[in-house]
Amino acid sequence: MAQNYNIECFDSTAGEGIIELQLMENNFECLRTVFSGTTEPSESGAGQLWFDNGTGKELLKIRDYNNDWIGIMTGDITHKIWVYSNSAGDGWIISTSVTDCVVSIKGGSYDYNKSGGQSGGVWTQPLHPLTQDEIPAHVHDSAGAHTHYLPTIQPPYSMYIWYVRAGSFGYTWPIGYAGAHAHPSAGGGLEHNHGSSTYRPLAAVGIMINLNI
Amino acid sequence: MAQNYNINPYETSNALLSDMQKYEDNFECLRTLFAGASEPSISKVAGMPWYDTTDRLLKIRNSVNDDWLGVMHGNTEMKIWIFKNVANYGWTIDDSVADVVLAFKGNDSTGVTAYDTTGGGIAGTWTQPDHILTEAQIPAHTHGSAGAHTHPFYVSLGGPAGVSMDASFLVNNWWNTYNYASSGGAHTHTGGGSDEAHDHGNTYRPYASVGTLQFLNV
Repeated sequence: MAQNYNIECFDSTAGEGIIELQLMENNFECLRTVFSGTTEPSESGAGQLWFDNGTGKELLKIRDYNNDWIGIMTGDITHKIWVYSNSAGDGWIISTSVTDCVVSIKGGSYDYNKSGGQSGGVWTQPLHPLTQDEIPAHVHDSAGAHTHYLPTIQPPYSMYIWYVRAGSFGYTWPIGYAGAHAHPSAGGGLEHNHGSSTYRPLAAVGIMINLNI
Repeated sequence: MAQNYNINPYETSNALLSDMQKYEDNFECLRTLFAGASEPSISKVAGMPWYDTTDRLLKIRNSVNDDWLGVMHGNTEMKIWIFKNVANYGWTIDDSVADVVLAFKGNDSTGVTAYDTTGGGIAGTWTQPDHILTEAQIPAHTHGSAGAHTHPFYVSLGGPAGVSMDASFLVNNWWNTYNYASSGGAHTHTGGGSDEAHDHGNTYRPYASVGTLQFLNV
């Protein structure tokens, strides 16, 4: 690693050949190692690279138009990212091990609470039994004409119905009822949902990361 | 920034001073990755870099030397999703965003759904919206026996004519109405639902970390 770059490595009027050749050698080493160092090069310009190998860094940076250092994204075969495309560009490989799921960020207390790089969640929403109150108010259709039978035997004297018709006195007793009718509503019409906040759609669980500049 | 690279700076017939100046020029081109507002005019080769100061993007010549590829760069504000549990060297995990799925943002101005918002924030909810079932969405079902219960009834007078009258008729006609009773038969009724499908609306979005779809401006 080297950062002793000399921009004015040649001076046609006052330069000394041997010294200038040494400066050029130094420059070659700076370029070969991409100005590697734990601190930024003392001289920099737009487009210049610097491999920052400071503690916890190890990041290639480039000097931007505004003379700020920005990170250049690096990765390896374990560093998988999501791309809005159907094919891999040059230098990339599609990982087919993860399919048919959404993307999530790990964390929380439920199915996404696992190490990144795994799948979590399910597509099937949790079961939710309706309570009586969650049934909408409704009526049941008439069961049609039907008969409620009473005892076929002659009832006791206390159930007689006495009447007078056409001048005569008599009695009878109930024989039944055949009226069609409906039953009242049972539901309360309350709202319901499909499970609590523990539900998560099936997802490839990952992490949110950024360059450590 | 410089692009005045000389591919053949040395010739035995050249003056040394001239060659040395070309070397210095080349060094500056290499140091600044041929930075310039337009691509270098010299012949290009696969792997050659160019820092495009117009697009503000480092580019590298592709393998067949017919186009420039963008080199991904970023800073602490440009966060991407990685299918991994640890950060590589040079990366840092932002654990302030957790337990969400990712979504594409909608139109900020409409606000119809939760994702119609500014990228870089959290929107949506894990709880699906409530939905009141209609009667047609109840599955077909029967009700169990209502148990013993009473119904008002009619009576039928005996005799050839078979004249029917109910209890109120008897009351209104002064006849003795005591001792009439009601039936108590248990029975079931037919169902009221029709097995129709229902959904929970189309404005629901799962809880998500909302961002934008971006690409390199090559």
